[in-house]
Amino acid sequence: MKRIFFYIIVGLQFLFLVGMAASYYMIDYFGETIKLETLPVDPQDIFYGDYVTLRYEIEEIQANKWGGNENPTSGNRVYVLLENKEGAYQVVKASDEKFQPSSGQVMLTAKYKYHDSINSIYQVDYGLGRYYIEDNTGQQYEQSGEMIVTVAVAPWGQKKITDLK
Amino acid sequence: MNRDSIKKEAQKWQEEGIINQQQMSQIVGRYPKRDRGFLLLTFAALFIGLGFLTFIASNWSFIPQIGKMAIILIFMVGFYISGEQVYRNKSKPVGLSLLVIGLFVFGAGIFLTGQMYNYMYFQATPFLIWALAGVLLFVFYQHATLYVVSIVITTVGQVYNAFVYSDFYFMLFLVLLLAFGHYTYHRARRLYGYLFACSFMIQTIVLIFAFGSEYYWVIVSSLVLYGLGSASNRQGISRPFRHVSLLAMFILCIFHIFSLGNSYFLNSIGFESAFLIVWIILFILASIIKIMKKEIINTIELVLFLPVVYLSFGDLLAMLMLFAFSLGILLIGYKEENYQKITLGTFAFLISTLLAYIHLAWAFLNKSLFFFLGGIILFILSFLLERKRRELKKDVKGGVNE
Repeated sequence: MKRIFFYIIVGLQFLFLVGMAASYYMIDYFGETIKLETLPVDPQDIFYGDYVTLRYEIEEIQANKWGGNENPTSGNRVYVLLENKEGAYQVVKASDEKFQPSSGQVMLTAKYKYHDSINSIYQVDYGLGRYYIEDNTGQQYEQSGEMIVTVAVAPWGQKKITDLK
Repeated sequence: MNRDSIKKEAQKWQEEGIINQQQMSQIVGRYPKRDRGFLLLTFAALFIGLGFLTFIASNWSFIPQIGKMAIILIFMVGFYISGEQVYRNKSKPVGLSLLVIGLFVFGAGIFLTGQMYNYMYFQATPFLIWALAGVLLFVFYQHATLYVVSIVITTVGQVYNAFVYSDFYFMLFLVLLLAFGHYTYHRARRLYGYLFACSFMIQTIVLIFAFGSEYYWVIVSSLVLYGLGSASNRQGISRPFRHVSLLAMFILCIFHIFSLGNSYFLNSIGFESAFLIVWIILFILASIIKIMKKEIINTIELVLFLPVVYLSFGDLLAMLMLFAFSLGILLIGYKEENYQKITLGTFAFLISTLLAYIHLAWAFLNKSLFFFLGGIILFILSFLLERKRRELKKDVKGGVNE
């Protein structure tokens, strides 16, 4: 096979990694920032270093705000519409179908977890549950109690935590 | 037959004047030299790759983000390009090792970049990208080392997906079927066959659990593998596929011997009519293939695929299946004077006896008596089987000298 094919393979891998980094920096330019309320803890994962586990208020969705399919499959993609209320973003409504957010609103994609019928809550995961920090500084976050997380959301759906206080 | 033994034989023939010098070298030439050095090299490259991964990871937090990206990219491109140069101009094994390290740096790069930039995955996407890069490299170089490394990445990715996301990743399964399937079929190399079959079994087990189906669906996936193996005329596919599926079923039978007597376990098993329908169709197909190939005698292998879960005394039936299979292989081995089959059958038979003994006698016998008697039974069995085997070996040798 021609040698150029080899350089294409390597080039694609190079571009992929550069693209991963670039698309992350692009969120800063094109994304919208929102603030979310949370509580942290500190476990370990073999494939990563240290990170703080974050749980968000908006991950527990009241049944009266849930639309669409009432019994989604765990792990499926759901859409959550958020609106700014008193400094932090709160859930307006959620569904397994897409929303058209009006001004002042933001739509996040999340993974559906389970339905808690006792408290009539739909539990979802935004994939923002991990905030990576430098080795062995997790304690500091764990003791700091409830925090405000600033998240930037890009128009293409990618989101990142920009600040943790 | 391997090259060395055929060379010895051919030299004898030449000395006896049956063939001439040219014919001898022609015969020997038909058996290519086997290159097994790459296996060690694969492991060497794997270790160095892991070392690189852990070293960078442990010093990671002291480097700024742009620096981290630069390290990953420079190392990756450096290993790839030097690997390519060395492979072309100097040494293939060394070049390949460098290329494999490059592939590892790329894999580590995806994870580390993901960590640096807070990437969230809903599936084992990094493994998919990584595996695809490996497949492309394999397509380019067509070297076994890259096949081994890539299929390991694919399979580990599927298992990782199962543990972390409790889900089945179809894309990785497609990579196995389309990319590795293509080369396994066309190259028909035994190593590829075994690796493909193992990955197929592991991935379908993940599939079964991810969909919450009953575990015994593994009989179906194993039967598919067995059927494909039986249908293929290529040694490099037929044997590995059948061996791996039979091994999986042998292990399942062992599991059944110990679990199907347990009423708690029996109550937890559900009946799935879909399974029975699929199983019957596949079983008939496999039998037809066996008959069409005129391997009726080998149909005894299919006994391992019987779904005893649904029957009462499943544990005893599983035990009988193991005995039927082992004795079947043993007898076929004697009949065909196939040395390998006899060894395999002997081994399977000893294991079956041991299991039957453990299962039946453990509860009733005094513990020290249990071990004594077990030891004696195994000793007698191995003595008898070994004697029979030696007799046959003598016969075979005698036949050659006649």
